[in-house]
Amino acid sequence: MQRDTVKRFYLIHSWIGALTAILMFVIAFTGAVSVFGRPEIKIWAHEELHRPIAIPHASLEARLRNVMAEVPAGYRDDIQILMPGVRRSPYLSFLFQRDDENADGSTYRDVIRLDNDPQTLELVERRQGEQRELLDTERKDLADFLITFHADLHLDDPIGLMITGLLGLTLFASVVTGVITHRKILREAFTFRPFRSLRLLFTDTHKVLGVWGLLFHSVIAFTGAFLGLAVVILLPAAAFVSFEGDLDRMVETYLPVDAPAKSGVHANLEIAGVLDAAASADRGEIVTVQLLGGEDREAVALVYTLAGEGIIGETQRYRVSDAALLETYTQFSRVGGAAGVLLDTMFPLHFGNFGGLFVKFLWFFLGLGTAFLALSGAMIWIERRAYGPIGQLSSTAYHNISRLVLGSCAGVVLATTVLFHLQLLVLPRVSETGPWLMGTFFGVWLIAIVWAQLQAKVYQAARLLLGAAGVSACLVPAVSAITGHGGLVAIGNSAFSVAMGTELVLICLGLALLYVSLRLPSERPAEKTAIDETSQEPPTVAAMPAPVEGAVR
Amino acid sequence: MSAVAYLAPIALLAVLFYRSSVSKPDFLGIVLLIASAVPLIWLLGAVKGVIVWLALLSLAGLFVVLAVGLKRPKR
Repeated sequence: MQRDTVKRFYLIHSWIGALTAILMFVIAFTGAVSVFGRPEIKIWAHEELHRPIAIPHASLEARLRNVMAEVPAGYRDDIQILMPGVRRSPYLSFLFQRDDENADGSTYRDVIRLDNDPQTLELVERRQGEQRELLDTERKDLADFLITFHADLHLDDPIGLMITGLLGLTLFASVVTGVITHRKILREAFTFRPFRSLRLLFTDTHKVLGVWGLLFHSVIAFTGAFLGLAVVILLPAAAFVSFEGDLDRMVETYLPVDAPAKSGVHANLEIAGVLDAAASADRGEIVTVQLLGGEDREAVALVYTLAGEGIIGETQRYRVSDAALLETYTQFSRVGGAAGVLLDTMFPLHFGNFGGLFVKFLWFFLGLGTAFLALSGAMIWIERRAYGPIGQLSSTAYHNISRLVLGSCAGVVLATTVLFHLQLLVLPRVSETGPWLMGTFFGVWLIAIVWAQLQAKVYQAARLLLGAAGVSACLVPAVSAITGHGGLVAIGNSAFSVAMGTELVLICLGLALLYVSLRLPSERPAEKTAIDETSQEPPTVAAMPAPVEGAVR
Repeated sequence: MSAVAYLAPIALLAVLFYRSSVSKPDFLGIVLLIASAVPLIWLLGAVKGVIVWLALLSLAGLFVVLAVGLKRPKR
């Protein structure tokens, strides 16, 4: 490839990275944490989920019948059962749903939601309202907050999803331009020289993270772009091409929830048999059960499961009256062919939730790699301009950018760890958790950014913020013990649980952050001289940037 | 068996790096590395096995390179 072409790709790579670095770090970091969001962090956050949950199917059926008796008949034809601590719900939740019409003819879904304690099955809360409204006013925990922040930055539809989707595209573009630019890719995969100079440390770290994580970054970028843009752009575009713009008709065609043809013959809703059959099929863990057809003999149960042996979760369709398995399919298998398989693999490949904790840890560390890839890229960009000949601004301006980048990145780490304390100290005691989560997270993050801007030594600011995040993470088990939340303090009187594991991981991460904080220099090593506004001396040869490949030697 | 399946790629990768003094991997090492996917494929199935093997290799490679770099004497 022509040298000029490579240089152009390098410039694109460099500027895309510089412009999106902070957002990329934030999305990648919260994404890495979100890998454990459901169910591990959710289980840790809710004390009632700390002990293993084993609801006998007969008890679940009896509980459903009890609550059904109190629900108006119109709501019994479509019932959802959310299993506790598997995905979204910390409770055993029953959602009785009915489609109604507004005065203008538009339809809406009215829902009666009954949340039951996962251990005692006693009613915790009863809520009724329009589906979207119930979802918006749901009590959120830190797992919900982090996952939603990763998905759409808590911005309204469709802005948030578009931003994260476009960020996936820019990551993909960075991967492609990075591969084109770095032609000695194999050698760079084996080169890491941390002690020569700061710029070489940043450059080698960036290349090693980029090359070894190449496949992961590509997959995350592609699936992230798809998940972000699918609902906002891709689906409406596909509907426009194939269904004359009728999105609902397209969704009904490819993702039908087939209600059964009712026989008119009454039958008791005996779902214990269905749950027994689904459990003995030994596929994945049951997430949700949807009962369609009420107490009719032809009523069906759709059992949604996590990925079992494979990487894709399945839906099993049973006839409730005799627990006969009618059909097994995946979410997009009705699309057919390779497209269906590709669509089905998007979620598991993005979230790493198909192979248990081991794969989740792989995804977590590789996700952190994506975050540090963005950060190291930004630092190379700043270093080359603040201490090299290509900067157009004053060194003060580049130092301010450096403060902004490091303050934002270290600040988001600190804000995330503070949310664990919020979950323990405040959220169980307030009725509306959303404002607390938003206020604390964005408040701590903003304070960290402003504080970093006010510091004279930018590296010292990053050190202190990371140190504070490390202390904060290490203190979570102590606060958990003081508040009687469980977790590590339960060691010795119960089996190993997810809550204990979560706190152990927090301690390890906290210690790692403290170690990094102690190892970081408090100011930039002094062997290079900044070109500031008062000194226009040319840079030394050692400080000259490499011409094409982005390697600062 | 599962522990062997998961650890094999990591161990082989580490050996490969030290054998080649972190300069260039040798042919035998690469063959062994690819062969280390077999236990994972046998354990998890073809698709999941290959995905996990690739992810494991990415992370193990990254850690080994960083560790070797940090262990080198400072100049």
